[in-house]
Amino acid sequence: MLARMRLRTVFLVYMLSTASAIVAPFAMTTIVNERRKAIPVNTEPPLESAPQLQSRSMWSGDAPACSAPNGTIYYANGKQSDGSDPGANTQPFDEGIRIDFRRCAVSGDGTVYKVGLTEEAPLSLNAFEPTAQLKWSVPAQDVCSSPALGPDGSVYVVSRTRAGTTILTGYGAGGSKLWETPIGGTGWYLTAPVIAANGTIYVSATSQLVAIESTGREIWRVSVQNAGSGNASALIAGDGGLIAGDDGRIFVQVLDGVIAFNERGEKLWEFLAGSRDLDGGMALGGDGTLYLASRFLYALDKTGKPKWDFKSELTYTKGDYFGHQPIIAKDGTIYANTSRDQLYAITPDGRKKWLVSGEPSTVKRAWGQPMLTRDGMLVTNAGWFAVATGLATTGWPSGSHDNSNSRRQENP
Amino acid sequence: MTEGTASRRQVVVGVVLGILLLPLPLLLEFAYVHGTERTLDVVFHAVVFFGAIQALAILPASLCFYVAGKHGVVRGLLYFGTFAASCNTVLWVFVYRGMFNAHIY
Repeated sequence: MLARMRLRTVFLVYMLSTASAIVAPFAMTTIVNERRKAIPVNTEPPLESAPQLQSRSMWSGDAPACSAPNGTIYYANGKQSDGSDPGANTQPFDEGIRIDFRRCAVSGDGTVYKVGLTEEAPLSLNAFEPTAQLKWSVPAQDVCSSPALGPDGSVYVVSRTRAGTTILTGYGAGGSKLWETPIGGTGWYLTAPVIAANGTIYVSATSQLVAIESTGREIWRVSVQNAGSGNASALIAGDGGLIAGDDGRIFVQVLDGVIAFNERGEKLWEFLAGSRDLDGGMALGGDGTLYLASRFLYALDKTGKPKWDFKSELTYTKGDYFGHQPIIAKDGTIYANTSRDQLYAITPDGRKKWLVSGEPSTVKRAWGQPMLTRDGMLVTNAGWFAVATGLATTGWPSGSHDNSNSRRQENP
Repeated sequence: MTEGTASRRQVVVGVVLGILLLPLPLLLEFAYVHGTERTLDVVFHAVVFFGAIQALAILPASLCFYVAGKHGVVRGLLYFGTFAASCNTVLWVFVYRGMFNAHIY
């Protein structure tokens, strides 16, 4: 029968089925997206008008990277400015050196530690005086995290060679290599170490959380597993993916949520957001609330229960998500930027304080990872806002929390 | 005009040929994704793959065998193409139902 059917009919049926196969995914996706648009998002009017943007000729390379105790801000493009006016007073850190501050930390005496390229050397860890005089320089491996500074002035860097596994290296304040501890894992995006108040260093790599003494000795190592599936979880590799609380808790952001551990490596709880986004980050509020950017912005209490979630207005119309680490001011206001450059100020109870949209706009604003300065400015890639007075000591003012990149909440 | 021939054996040959041609568009798609470092997107891949099966494998092969007068082989190829496309449509209906039954995030 199959051989006798008219060829024209066979061809017609074939074309119809092919057309339906190609149209089906578009049709299904359109229907689901239309249904998603009906889900409530935070379109309520803001509580107050947004502060005036103090703009300058900034571009994405001007991202604020780290700040010094005296208020100096170091930008990713190698420039610096005093904290009084981040826009007007930017100048090169050193005219003679091509430098960038993408991965940097600043100690209490103003020494600037950075990982990056210099004109003379490949990737290296460098220490500079605030006057840009080089104190010391040591070669770094092919892939490096941002440096983190210990309470005794030690410098810690997670790194790996192209073919090797990840290691944590401790350097003395004078640049001498103290020890090297293997972490394991071969990921290309390394999460910066977290420094606890007692000097313990926490690092994460390839579904493992490792605690290491300041002497380099490994204390414990746990596998970061998703309780829902029991599988090893993919860890968020950004620097905001591993942070610590002042009570010893350690938070590891995974692909679909966050897992909390105590200082002995015991799992406390996990929160599954359901997202599969690779970007995001975390910050801790003064009352112990964990703010998690995992597509939406979540506020989780100390037991991991959600207090509220906040959805960008463009979540379902433009696929917007909170793709940067949230930061928290002294008054508890949370500042968070989305992938569509919607810069939100959110009250601690989850209400929209104000919103500055980077698009649509005649000039697109790309805010990047914001940072709060000692002088009460919210600095972004595309300008700055005067928002509050005083560097937050009970909040989380920058992606790395403080000058030394401890990524640890401090006691108020 | 070539006189067409069709037999059950030729239809079977066409179906087998269609199955053998299946990896070709898959390889092309992998090469494209690898070369462009395009991120995985289910809709994109489904459309490209099933579109590519028909456009790069079934249809050209059918045309060649049609010109050669092997209408049975053409039938076999088109039967297999119809089967593959129908499976794809059914698969999408199930995915769609899954999306609806699950919490839309």
